[in-house]
Amino acid sequence: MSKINLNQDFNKNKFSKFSNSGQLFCILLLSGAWSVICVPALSGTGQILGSAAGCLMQILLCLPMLALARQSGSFEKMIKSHKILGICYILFFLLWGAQGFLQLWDAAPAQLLPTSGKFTAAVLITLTCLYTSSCGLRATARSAPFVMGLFLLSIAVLILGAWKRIDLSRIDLERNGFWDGVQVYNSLSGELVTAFVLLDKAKTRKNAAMNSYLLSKAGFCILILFLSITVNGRLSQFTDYPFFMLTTLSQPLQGQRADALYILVFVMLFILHITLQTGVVGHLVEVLFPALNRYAAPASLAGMLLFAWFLNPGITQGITSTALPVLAFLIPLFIRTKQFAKSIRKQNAGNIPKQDQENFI
Amino acid sequence: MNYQNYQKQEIPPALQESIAFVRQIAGNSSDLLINPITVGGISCAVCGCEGMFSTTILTSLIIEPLTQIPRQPSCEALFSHIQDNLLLSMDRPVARNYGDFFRLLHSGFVILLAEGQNKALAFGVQGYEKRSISEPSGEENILGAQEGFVETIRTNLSLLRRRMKTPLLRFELSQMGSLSRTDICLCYLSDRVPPQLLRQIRKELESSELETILSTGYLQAFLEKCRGSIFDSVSLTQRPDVLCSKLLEGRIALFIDGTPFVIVIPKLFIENFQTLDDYNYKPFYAAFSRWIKYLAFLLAILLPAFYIAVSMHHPELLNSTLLLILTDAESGAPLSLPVESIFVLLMYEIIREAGLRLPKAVGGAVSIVSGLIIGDAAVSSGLISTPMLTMVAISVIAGFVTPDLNAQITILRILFIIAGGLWGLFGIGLLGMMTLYNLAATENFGFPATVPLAPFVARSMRDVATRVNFRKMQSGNFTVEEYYEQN
Repeated sequence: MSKINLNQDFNKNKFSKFSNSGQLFCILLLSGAWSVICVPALSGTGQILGSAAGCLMQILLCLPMLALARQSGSFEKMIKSHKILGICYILFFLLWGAQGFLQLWDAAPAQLLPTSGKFTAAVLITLTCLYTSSCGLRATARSAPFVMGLFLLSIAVLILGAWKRIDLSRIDLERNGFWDGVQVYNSLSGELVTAFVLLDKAKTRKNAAMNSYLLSKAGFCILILFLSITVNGRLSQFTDYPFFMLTTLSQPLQGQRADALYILVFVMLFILHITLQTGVVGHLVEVLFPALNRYAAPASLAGMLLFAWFLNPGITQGITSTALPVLAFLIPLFIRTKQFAKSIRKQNAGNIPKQDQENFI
Repeated sequence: MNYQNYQKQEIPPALQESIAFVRQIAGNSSDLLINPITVGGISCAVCGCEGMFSTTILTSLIIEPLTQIPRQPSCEALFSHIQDNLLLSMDRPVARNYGDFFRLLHSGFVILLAEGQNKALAFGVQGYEKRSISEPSGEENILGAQEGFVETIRTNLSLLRRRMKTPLLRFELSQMGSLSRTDICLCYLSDRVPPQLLRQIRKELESSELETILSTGYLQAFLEKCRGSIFDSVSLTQRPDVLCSKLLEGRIALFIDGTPFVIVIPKLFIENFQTLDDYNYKPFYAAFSRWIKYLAFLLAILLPAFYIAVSMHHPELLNSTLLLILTDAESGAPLSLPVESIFVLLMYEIIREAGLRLPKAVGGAVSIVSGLIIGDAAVSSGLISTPMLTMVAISVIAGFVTPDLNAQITILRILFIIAGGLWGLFGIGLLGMMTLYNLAATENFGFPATVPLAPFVARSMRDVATRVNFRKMQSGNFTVEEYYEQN
């Protein structure tokens, strides 16, 4: 039996079901990796434990969205019936993208980008994002495995370089940064909201993709924190971005430096991060306001830049951190509970969708 | 009669009127041959196009038997006698209008018109000059067959049929082009091809309103659904053995009369790195050769750009010895690195074009002049530095490894040089992402170009990351439909 649907338009519908969970895992992890490499200053080893705890917390936070994702299309139905909620999600993604731009402006000097200023770098990246977002979310999903390859290679080079500089005596067990760790880790997790939207579109093995993403991101975050503490030591206090200090100090070869190679990873992760947010906004606009779909990508990029330009970084981070549990946990929980209550009512009326009961969590 | 719209004009029963009309439509063209003849006591005319039919076959197999036909009571009896009792040729279509008449005439058929008949009998006695089968010029291999397609569609179909003696191999012959009426043929294995894909391709071909089809490029535009992509989503081949392997995977081929290239749909990016020889060598060497091709592709696009980016913006990536060598070499060069490399590349492209268009004997001389005289003189005069020339030469040679990607490599190489020269690795990263997205967005009829890497298909890695032997490969039962990405 052929799988091809003749009636579809091959040029349209760029946002569509992912072929496999691997793509979902890749785009979430790479988008999350951008946030992790821009993790701000360290407060101690307690932060590592805090990050691990943050990860566990997020696994719990994800349960309602995973339960909801068993029925594809639930999210779309919800935002169609409550447009205001859909707009809230769009605003969140714009703010999350804006936060990315703010991080870029902040971190660009640390990467010594060979442009005449961070504004030029931002303009170039925005132009690139304008093109990449026009290719659609499906192209993002397909690009992700290639970027993942480069990302893993750079991490291998980083570990290789850092290996001989690790000094465990730099681990200060007395310093207390546990809650900082939890807070920082959660503030880096805007992808959970992205995941909620994308899970609705993933075909199979959604749980596997989400679990792999959460664990890999936690592993990566803990690795970066661990290496930053043991390699950077006290130098971390003099930098806003420990990851970039780490890449400067970790050189795999004696006679030559490799830190310029991370520029490639830095650029690729950022473009993927912003294109993903733009693509998700495009999808939401397509669902809510189909007539505006054509302008969604450039408009959402412009929106992100405007937010980044006018809003204080503290305000952006504050809003996203507050909105994150609401959009990624409370709303999915509310919808799932509503669905469950409806199934119970049906059951009482004699119509028994037993599967609904079993699938509640 | 309106000879402008002759296509659907029926053949009149009056022979002289019919002949006059044929002459009128053809504008008394010099190659139109009309010979009156009496067959079975009835006035007839044998029409042909000069140079398109074989005179020997015509005389011995058509004219001689026709002259021996006994007297017939009517023209209907004459035609039924010819059709029922004589096997003058294997291919015996009937033309009922002038559209069919001229299509057959210009395809090398000889046509018999008879007084009182409103139809004409055509006999396939084609005998036009054609190139003999030879080794394809662009797809050489070492251990495979040395036969390639030629310009004649029927010869090409026979080359394929010889290798696939199964009734499941189907040919759908039709004509396209309102003026050229070029023969085209869709070809597929009926049990492997996705039927809807076939229907979609037929629909696309029907939608074209071309006047002529002179090469594959005329139809390629209708078969590539992804606009704005720099990578091809349909492939071309000149080799019947390669085409067989593609058909076995459920792909569709499109033959066009007059060109030795066959269009194959859909094409995956990874196919650019697969050659027939890969399947003739031992798997370990085939896998090695495949990885060399991947590396060569990256070198072809990125090497000069990386060299420029590192030399200009990130010298810390080089060790001190290498840095000193490069500094010493470049210190005497009058041009900046990006300008120097673009200059060398443009010179190479000009020389290549000159070598392609000139006759072969002169083409060799161009290579000698360019390689020995210009190259040597440019380096010794200090106009171009030796490391830069080395980098560009390696990059150009690496590009030859994947000839199907030559156009993309040429343009991307220059763009990457500009990006690397202006913004170093940052620029290369930006352009790299744009290229990656462009590739990722390329799809044709729902088949992504990046498959089986993205979406990742683990089973296909046996012919991508490695090349397993045929004992394992035969158990695959693979068709391209597995790669279809559902919306």
